[in-house]
Amino acid sequence: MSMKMRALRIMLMIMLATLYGLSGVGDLARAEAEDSTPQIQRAAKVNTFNRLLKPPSERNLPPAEDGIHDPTSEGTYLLQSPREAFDSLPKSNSGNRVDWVKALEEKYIEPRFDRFDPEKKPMVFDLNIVREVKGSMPDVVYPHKQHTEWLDCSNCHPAIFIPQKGANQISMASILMGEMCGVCHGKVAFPVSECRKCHSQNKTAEAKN
Amino acid sequence: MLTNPEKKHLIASSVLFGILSVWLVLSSPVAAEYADVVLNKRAEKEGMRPVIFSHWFHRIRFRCKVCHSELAFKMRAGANEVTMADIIEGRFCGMCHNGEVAWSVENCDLCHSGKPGLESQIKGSHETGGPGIW
Amino acid sequence: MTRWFMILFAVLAFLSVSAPVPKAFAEEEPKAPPVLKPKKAGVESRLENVKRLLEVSSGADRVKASGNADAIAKREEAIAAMVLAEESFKSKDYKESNEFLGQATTLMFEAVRMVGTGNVSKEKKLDDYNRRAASVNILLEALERISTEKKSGREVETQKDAIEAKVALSKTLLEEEKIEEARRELDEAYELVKVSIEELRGGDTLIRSLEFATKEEEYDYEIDRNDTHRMLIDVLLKEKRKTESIDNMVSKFVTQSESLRKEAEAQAAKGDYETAIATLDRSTKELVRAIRSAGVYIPG
Repeated sequence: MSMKMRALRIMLMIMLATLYGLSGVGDLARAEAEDSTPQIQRAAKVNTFNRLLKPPSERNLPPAEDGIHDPTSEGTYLLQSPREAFDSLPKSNSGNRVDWVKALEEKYIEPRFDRFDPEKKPMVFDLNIVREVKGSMPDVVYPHKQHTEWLDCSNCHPAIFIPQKGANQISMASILMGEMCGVCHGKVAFPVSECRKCHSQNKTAEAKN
Repeated sequence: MLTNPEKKHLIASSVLFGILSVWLVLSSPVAAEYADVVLNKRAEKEGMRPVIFSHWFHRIRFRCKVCHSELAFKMRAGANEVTMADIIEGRFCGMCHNGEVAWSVENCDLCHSGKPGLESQIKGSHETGGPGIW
Repeated sequence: MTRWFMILFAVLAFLSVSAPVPKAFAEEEPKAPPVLKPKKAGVESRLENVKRLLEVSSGADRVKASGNADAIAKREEAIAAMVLAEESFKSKDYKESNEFLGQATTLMFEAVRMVGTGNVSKEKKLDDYNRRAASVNILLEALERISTEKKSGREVETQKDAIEAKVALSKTLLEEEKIEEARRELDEAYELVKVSIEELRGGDTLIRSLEFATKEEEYDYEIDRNDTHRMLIDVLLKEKRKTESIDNMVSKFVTQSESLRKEAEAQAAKGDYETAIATLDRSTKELVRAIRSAGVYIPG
């Protein structure tokens, strides 16, 4: 193995080790005093890390370990851990790993629609917009219903979408750049890697041709 | 026990490790919760930690519309000009964090809880390169 | 040199497996409001924070510049409480220090509220008004279209008239600088237009079919589809491409796709959109292959 490769590997290991052990930065002195485990054994533990997939243990970390909250601030430890909050909520494969739409539908959560009035209900609007797309990619179904559970018409109309047939040029590229659906999807709502959640209507046999 | 030269190495490596940790912490969005927002337009300039706003915590309690219509927060990270005086006087966060709807803001560290040096942005999602960030 | 790295690695490995996780803290349910336990470090940090609140915060600036004697006196009271907090801190009574800090904060908040308008700035109000007005107008237009489409007749006409009357009144109020009243009328109009649209459109499904007026338009669509898939490679495969064998395979397809795309662009430049569309389609298919080869099944 060349020196460059070795250095690269070590860099990688440092990164992995740091991910695991952010809170141990100040403990070097202790490490020196207690470190008596054979080196091979110690290395083995680090090497079980699979860098292709974030293991569940690294998701929804408590604030002090999430990489953005300051672990040296006492306030950080008073904040709720997402893992604990999500424990009872329906799961999904991306984002927070919570299926928020299902959580709302099945009343796992009951977020208020009005700042003061817990009884106020949203005006749910049941209108589906189907957008045909090319290829064997299923067509997009946009349900106003699930969206109006969370949002008001004015959140999207007209700043993001003009409520008129043919008036909105939507493209995946713009969504990926954070425009159109991408204002929320990929930031706070489920990310665009969940193709099937929007491209949900399979084409009929004749339409495929 | 470690020999003398080994101790020297250890010290050197500790220093390197420290530098790397800082670099990594500042540069890596690794574990931040999806949709967490860092607000640091003013905070650090004025000597406070950046503010971390957790979407997940708030959406369990309120629908998007409450903050993004009633409280008139624009749906773009960085698009809202919020000062501490605003909040104390009951605007923006202060519309709820006033001891009535939610706890009042006497404990600074609950919101000013971010690591120093963080940039204002929304965390945890795929990197969008476009104007959607601002 | 090798030993240097080994030791470094050993230390790191040890740190990573032995790093203490503050479990007890992390899993503590925050009561509202979460209370800071008066421990030394916490109180020290709060002292710093409260000092900033009293001296340099936007609120402090506002009080200092206000010329409002009551507010300035309130701030002085807050500063006095903070001095007491500092003294308690020095004599290691963190509980008491924390209590004084609480008082200082509350007093300072009162001072800020005394000089504040308690209102959102006029510009922001106007901005919010304009955005809401844009919503009402666009929804009114939509209501008109839907009403024509559905031949809904008198009832909707009456609703529309009522909404338009409210919008007009709101405009007049705004011109008279009565922005709050103007907003109230506008919000009522907004609620009405929402209900009217829901009554007409609720339960519907609208289909936006894929039709192209010209081949050039279809070509633009294909370019976008191609861009999209190229971007998806970055979004979906960023992690997976760290594995060399996967990366090689993905790169092969991507290169293939890029050369087809160039070909298509050249064909389009000559005005041969029909061929260009077919070539682009092939280019996009290569990108789909790239994504699938890395184990992410996407339809295409």
